Amino acid sequence: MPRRPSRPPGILRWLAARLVRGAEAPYVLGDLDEAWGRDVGRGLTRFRASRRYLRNTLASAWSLARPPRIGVSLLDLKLGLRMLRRQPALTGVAVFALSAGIPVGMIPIHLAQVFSAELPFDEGDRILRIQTVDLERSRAMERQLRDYRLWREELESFVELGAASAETRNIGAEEGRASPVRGSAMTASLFELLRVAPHLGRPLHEADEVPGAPDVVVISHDLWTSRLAGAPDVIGRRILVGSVRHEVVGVMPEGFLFPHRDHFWIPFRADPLRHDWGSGPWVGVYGRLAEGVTIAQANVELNAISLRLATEQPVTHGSLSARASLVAGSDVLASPMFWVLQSLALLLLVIACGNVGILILARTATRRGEIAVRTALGANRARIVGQLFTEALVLAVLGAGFGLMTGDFVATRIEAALGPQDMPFWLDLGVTWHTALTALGLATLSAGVAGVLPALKATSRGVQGSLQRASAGVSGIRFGGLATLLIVAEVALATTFLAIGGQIIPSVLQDPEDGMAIAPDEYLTATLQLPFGASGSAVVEEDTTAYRTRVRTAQGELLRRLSDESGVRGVALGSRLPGEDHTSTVVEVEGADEGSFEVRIASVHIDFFRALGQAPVWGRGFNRADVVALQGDGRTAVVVNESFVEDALRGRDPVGQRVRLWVPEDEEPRPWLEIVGVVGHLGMNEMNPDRDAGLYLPVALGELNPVRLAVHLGTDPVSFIPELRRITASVDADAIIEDPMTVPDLVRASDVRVGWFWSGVLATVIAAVAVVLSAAGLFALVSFTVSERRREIGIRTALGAQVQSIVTAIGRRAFVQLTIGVIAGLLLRGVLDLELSLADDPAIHEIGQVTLLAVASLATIGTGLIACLPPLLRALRIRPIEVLKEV
Amino acid sequence: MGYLGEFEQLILFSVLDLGDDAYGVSIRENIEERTGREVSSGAIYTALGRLQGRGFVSSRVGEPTEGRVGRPRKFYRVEPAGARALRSTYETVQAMAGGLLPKLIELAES
Repeated sequence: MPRRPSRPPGILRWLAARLVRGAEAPYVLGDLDEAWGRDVGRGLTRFRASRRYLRNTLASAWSLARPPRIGVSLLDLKLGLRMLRRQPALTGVAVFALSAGIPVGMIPIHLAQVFSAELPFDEGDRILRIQTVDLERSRAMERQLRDYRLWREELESFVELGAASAETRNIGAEEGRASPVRGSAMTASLFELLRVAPHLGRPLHEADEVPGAPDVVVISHDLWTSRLAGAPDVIGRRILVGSVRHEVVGVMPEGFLFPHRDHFWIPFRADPLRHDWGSGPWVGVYGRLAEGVTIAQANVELNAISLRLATEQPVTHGSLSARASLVAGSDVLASPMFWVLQSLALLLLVIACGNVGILILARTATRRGEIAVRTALGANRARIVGQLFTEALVLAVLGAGFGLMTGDFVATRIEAALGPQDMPFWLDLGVTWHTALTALGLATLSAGVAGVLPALKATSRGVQGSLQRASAGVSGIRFGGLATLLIVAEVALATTFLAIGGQIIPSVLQDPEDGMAIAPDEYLTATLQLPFGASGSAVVEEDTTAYRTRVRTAQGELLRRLSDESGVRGVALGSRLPGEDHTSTVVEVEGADEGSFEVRIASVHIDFFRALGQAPVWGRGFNRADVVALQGDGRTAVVVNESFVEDALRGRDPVGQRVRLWVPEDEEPRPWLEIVGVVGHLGMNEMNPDRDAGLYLPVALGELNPVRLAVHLGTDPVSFIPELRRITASVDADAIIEDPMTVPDLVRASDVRVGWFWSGVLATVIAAVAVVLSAAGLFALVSFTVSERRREIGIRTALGAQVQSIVTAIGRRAFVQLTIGVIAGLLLRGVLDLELSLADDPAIHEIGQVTLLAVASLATIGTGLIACLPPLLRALRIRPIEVLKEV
Repeated sequence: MGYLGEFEQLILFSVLDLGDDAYGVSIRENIEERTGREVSSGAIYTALGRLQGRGFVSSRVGEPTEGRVGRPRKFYRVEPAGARALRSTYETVQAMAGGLLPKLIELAES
């Protein structure tokens, strides 16, 4: 019997068969086997021959696996663009997925670029901010006027130090249209160290800081053009800043709004020696590093001073430490957290690309004939891969374009939601050329994942193989486990986020004015504030008692003047107004079994309910005696709303019941407060009027500053804004009216509502993306199955198979994935609910959980089944006679 | 006339040397014997694919043999264009190296 030739070990041959791929693989594998036989024949041990075999296998696999040079041509581009038109559904889904994935993939790097922007000044990267931090409480200590003086005298790491204190003042009160403008009292040294020359005139000088010097002001370019019509002779003109006339000595260049978004700068006149350590106004301290000194070296010097101060001033500085850091241009890229976030974002992009890849793979399977013919006509693998890459690139560039537009829109909305005053002036969240280039890079990466990988998979078996499979009517492509995992995960995410969105959205869409006892359209609301130290220019300290008297007088006078106006039906003052965010507190009801309740709370002036036209539904409102009691023995009377009576008192007669505020940090329990009356629903929970149990505490005039103001006008409250400003300015030119708006606008601008709105939008977007992607994945899967099993379906139909059995055979895998996905989604929703506790949040309306989950599941299943329908119908339309002819 | 990399030159010389018996295993052994360098089969086929694309070599598939578990050999032959390119490259190296060998040896061994 002839001896069977000796062969390499099976495990090595198995490994080689998996590693060595490509058109030349059969010859290489043959060579490997033959070489092993020759080595053994030459006398090498089997072990050494195997080692040579393994080495050759790995080196061969590496050589053959090098990506082919992709040949991309204009023709491919034309084919790609034609494909967009011919397959609008695939185009739509792919562009949608990538327009969501690409912006997500670039959010961290975009934000890193935004926040690494340096101050746009000469050597802006050497300008530091010095902050004192309370190490025990982990918070910044802003009252550092004395520290500033000491640092300025002793620090050698800085060429110069400067200070600024935020000041908001009415500008232009003399024209009767005073509106508050954000500015700063700033040292001349700070102007000097920033090295920015004024557009007109001069900056502030040290001589301006001397008490008794003329009051001068430097204004921003924006203020100059908007309020002073860009008058060329503005220098020397005198304008009202608050109640004091200042001479304009300079106009800063466009874009200069240092330190934050400031529009005017007045001399800094606070005298450090008049304040104790740890007291005085809030001050921001800035410095320019000396030549050759690093931030670390500056901090060593600062730390030495902090340690000395901790010994010399143990009461105020025992736990304080000063630190210098860049004002702008934080090195986000050095943070490990950034890379974690960027990796996660790229992972999400790869998932979106994987989805598009599934679609492209399924489409490639249906194009086996075209690919085989192109191959037969001489197109090599690189050429085919290049074509599929170009088609994917066209989709990805479109996706990136839409993504950038969406990103820019969202950035604009976020900037608007934050308010322009909350963004440092040198930051711009919008799309820049840098962002666009990053997006283009990510689009190319996406095209690589979504186009090249499926193309490599589809063309991995060489020319002969593809021709053979094309003639057999199959592509040889398989939908692997990764595709299955992706579809199941998307179905799960769709179910979860449909349920979460379904819980949030009704609360956001609820008309906030529903159930409010007042007519919201009839009120104008605003914040009234009298800044401390406002009279006189710059930071000049006032006697605290005199200041309080001034606030009380101004509020009383304003109430009187407004009430005398024709058309004004009432003026309400309080810490919160109907329809806006009210703070929550915990109260204890005397004698109640339940213990404590979380309720809303507001401090209001005694005329609050009368001004809002609210007669108590039970008991009485506040009266002057309540305020007298307040000034004497402390608060005794409170008014509660109807929800409070239902929730906390369980419908018991409220008048005479006693409650007290409960704060965990309190060592002694707070005094009991007696309920004297009950009012209707005034909108203490603007998100959910059904859960607005709350109580009102009385306050005297002047006790709240700033105070919220609601003027009851009847019709067209907005037209009263100029009048409100005029009257306020005439009462006290330093009094500021901020954010005047109607109650409906107030409700819409509520932080809580905006927060929930964006949470709802986020959940809905995730759900929409997941629904569309899962539907597209299921469509691709069934479509692919139909295409691959066309002959089998034809033969089955010829043999009399029922519609049901064909549908089951074709759609089984999709149905199973859909079912597993929905179950996983429901479980995920359960786990997330433990974390989010949405149902317990007072802002969220109660919704039946079973109904919600059933609707979310049915919506996901319904969309999935609809996606499977077109290919299933195509399967049922296959005519046996046509298929049999092809065999 | 095309540029030939060093590895491509080795392959072309080897195919030239082996004549009708030039296929993966024989080329690999030929290079290893003549140069002492170990090369992988995959690298040989990748280079041969490139040379074939430029018309420097042609190939034919042989019959399956038992020692290769039924897999065929792929034989290669140098085409005139390949021979011209190899000659040109070789002559270029010779022209440059002419008379410099003693100097090179001296420098390398110093």
